[in-house]
Amino acid sequence: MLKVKNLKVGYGNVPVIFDFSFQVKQGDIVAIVGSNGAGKSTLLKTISGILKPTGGEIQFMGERIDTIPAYKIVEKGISHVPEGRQVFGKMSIKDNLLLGAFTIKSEEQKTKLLKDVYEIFPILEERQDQKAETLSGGEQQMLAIARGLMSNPKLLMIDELSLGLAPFLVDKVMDTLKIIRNKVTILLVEQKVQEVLEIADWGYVVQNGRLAIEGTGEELLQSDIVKKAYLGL
Amino acid sequence: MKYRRAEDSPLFTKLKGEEHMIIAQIIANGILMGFIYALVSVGLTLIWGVMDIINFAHGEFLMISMYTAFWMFSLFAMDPLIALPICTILIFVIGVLTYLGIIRRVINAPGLTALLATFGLSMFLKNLAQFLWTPNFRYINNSMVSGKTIELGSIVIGVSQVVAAVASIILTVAVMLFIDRTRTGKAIQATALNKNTALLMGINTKKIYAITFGLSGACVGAAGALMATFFPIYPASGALYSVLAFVSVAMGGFGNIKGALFGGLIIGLAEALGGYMLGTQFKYAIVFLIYLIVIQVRPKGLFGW
Repeated sequence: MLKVKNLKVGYGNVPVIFDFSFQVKQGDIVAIVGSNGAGKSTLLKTISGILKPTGGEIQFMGERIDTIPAYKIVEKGISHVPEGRQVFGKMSIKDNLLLGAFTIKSEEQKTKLLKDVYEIFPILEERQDQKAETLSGGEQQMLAIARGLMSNPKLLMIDELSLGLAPFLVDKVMDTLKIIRNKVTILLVEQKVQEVLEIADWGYVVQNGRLAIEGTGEELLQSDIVKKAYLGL
Repeated sequence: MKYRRAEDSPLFTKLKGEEHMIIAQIIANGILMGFIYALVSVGLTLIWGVMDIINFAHGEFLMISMYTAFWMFSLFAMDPLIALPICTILIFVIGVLTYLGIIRRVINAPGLTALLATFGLSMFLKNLAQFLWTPNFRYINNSMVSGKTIELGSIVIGVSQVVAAVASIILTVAVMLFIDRTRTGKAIQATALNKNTALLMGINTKKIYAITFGLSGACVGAAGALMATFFPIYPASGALYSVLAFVSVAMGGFGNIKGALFGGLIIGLAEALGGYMLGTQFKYAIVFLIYLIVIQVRPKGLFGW
């Protein structure tokens, strides 16, 4: 469903992603792992249109999307949960979720989407009138994911799900991914290699803006390059 | 009334010797002016809150609105209160065009570029007004509200000020509700809080910026039509009020609408009371003194976060 071909991205004159190709198949959980500064977040920002590539192309559902503005990419069915959660702290949880559904015109559909995410994350319904900044880190991550689901995406991209979360919370949030994967294809970008490769159907390892190795989650966990560089084995 | 010592005003001759009545009168005048300053300030704070830009041409938008009201009155005998929607819409459009023509090109430029651009626009508009309409003071003398007064006990207030204050309250509350309740208002809030994340929600942030500039213009456009009923109109007539608006915005906390409202009220009161107690030549000194004290104690302003 998502095809990235020979992508090149940079900030000013500094190239970050050199020549990266990968794809995401419908229904899969795909993980892109790599160390800090490997260009993972840059990659997601480019797919969601916040950054423009300097070369290569991005196709989604057979359509080129690297030339259209960021706000229109949401309508195409891609939702990006940004690094560090970036919830609207001064606004209520419900308002955050409704902003996630900004591109949805029908009120009925909005209500239904809200009901659906409240089912997955009951804590958010309990606290819907509270300001988002009052939530704990794990709850904010859940809110960010829920907000991402509110645009009814075909592809949900999550950047650094584990950032700043205690290990047991990471597991908890990962468990919710197993629930939502029935509805939506998931692209994860992570530094916590072990956890995401365990749930991923397919994974890519990025090093210095280039693809190092790809394979199923299990294959990657067994590979020397992952063992040495990320798992310290 | 504004330009003389309060007790010299003919309105007060019958009150002489009744100091506390005069104080009540002064406070009433201060509050009325405060609400109008608030409306001007709300426009200014909106742009800062959403885009982190100080619009130095804000006062000139006010001036253009006052001239619009003047010309509607002198050419078509249209009362400023009837011309108010025209002024509001016109300055809304000028605000949007300012964004599209100038701000959009400089918003991502470093440092002072956007600030200097609005400063340049301010100079341009002031001089254009002088070129087109001469530096002469103009007045709208016989609008439906001018010269009329209301007596509340021993307090006498001008109908034009009351109408302007009431309209300012209504419009300020309307802007607050718009930002707080509507879908577009929430998109404005989201853009103000985090532009890139707003983009990820599918919000067209450029459109939001244009709307914000327009909304800011609408506030000051409405204020201009209201003020034209009792203030002289000349090319620099907006400059003073934009300085006062900067003070009330900074005092209330940049980007905070409620802060701008209270900032405006404080300035209105400080100006009126200070002018009465120390003489009108010092009234702005009091305003700026209070401002300096507030930002020493609360550098982010009374409502700043």
